[in-house]
Amino acid sequence: MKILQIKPTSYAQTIITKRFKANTSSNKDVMVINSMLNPKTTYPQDIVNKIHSLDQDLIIVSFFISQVKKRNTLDWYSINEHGNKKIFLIVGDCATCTYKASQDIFELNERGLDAHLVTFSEMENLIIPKLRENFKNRILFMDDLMFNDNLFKQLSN
Amino acid sequence: MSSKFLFFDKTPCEWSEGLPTVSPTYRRVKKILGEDWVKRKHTYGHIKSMDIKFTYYQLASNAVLAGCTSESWSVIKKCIDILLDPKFNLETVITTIHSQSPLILISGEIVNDLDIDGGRGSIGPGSKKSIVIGRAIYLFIRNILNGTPQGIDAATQGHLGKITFCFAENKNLSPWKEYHLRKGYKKTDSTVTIFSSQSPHEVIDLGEKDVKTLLDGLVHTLLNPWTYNSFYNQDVWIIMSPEHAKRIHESGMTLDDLEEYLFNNSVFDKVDLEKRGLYGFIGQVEANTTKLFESKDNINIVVSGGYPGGYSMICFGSGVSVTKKVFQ
Repeated sequence: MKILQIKPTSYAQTIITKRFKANTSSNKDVMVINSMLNPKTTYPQDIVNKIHSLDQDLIIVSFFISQVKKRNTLDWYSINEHGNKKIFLIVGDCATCTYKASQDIFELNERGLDAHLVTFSEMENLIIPKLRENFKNRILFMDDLMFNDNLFKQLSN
Repeated sequence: MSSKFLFFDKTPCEWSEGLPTVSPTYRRVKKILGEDWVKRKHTYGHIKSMDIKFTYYQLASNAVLAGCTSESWSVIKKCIDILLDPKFNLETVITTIHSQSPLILISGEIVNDLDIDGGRGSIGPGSKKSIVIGRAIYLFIRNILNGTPQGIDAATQGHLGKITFCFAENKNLSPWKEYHLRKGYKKTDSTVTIFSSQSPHEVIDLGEKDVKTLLDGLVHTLLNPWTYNSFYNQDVWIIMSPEHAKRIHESGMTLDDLEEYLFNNSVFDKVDLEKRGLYGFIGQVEANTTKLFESKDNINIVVSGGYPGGYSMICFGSGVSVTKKVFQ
């Protein structure tokens, strides 16, 4: 079991899982970040389950980052610890959180990292334009009919 | 992204909230800029996190659109300086689902120059000058920062103060020092203060003999657990009517006493906070009682409006108030 230290953040929930499946499609670990405001949200766990249904060989690390308490873009991120992970940041029940999270995802992609914003289509306007323009495929809408396909496509890359 | 794209790619009817605008012609923009005309192509502000840069010319164009004239230019610039100050937390104010907007208080000598009296209808529609200054700030947010419901302004309902919320104190009828003097500025100074405010909530108390009912009314209204203030414990504004201020003053209470009273008596029981809809979203409550305010500095009281009138306004919101001196 691998424990990651992310700072500064509050650990609302930490899920570390490892399962195995013959059909491995990716050699990267996956980081699922929960930035939803609602503490009872099930969306991050749903994403974890979906990822597992594709590839049980992945090590998935899940934790909470408060976009409200965050002071600067990516102040929670350390490239030394997380550089080789696919990132899926789940957000969407708070407009400001979505806006700030989209800044994080843009910065991560600018650094050449494999980071995705997972939100709802009604939040599209809150996503910073340069993320929409330069990294469109790194935005996944949970209410999109093609969401599962898009998620699996991003995992397989 | 340059804000040029956000502003000049829009058609004139998209430049406003629907109210008529004044065309930002070359001549009008030149006039409002005054001595700043030489800097018209210079960058006035760069909001790095939003990837937005804007020039003096673009800012002045929005002031013209709103109906401002050159006397207001120094105040408008100062308002923008406050919005760009990291303490104001601009991105959150614009993008949040919470319906809030800049509450702008103009204080000091410039109030006379602009002919804003802070009297009857002070926060709307009493003074044309303050209305258009507030609107200039809104049009800046709308046109340069893309702060529209179709853009990045996600406010659930919004409120009318989003379009303009700018006023002054009623200096003549206030028993207390002007706001900027209380903040350490000089009598001859002028200042602008901005707070991110919800729509105002009126507190009605028409009693005359006993100030206690008025104090109870203020405390009772402040102790609304269904606000962000109840968890974040930050600023609240009380726009007090001259009549209410007079009653408090004549009871023997000073402004300092009033702030002390509100600070000490605005206390939630744990159960009040546990019942609220935001409980658990933002944090937990451990103590049996929680003060609404972290300190007396979170209580901002100004006297504004006409006389008579046993009506004051309480403005909840988020964050802290930022004051800056206006250089004319």
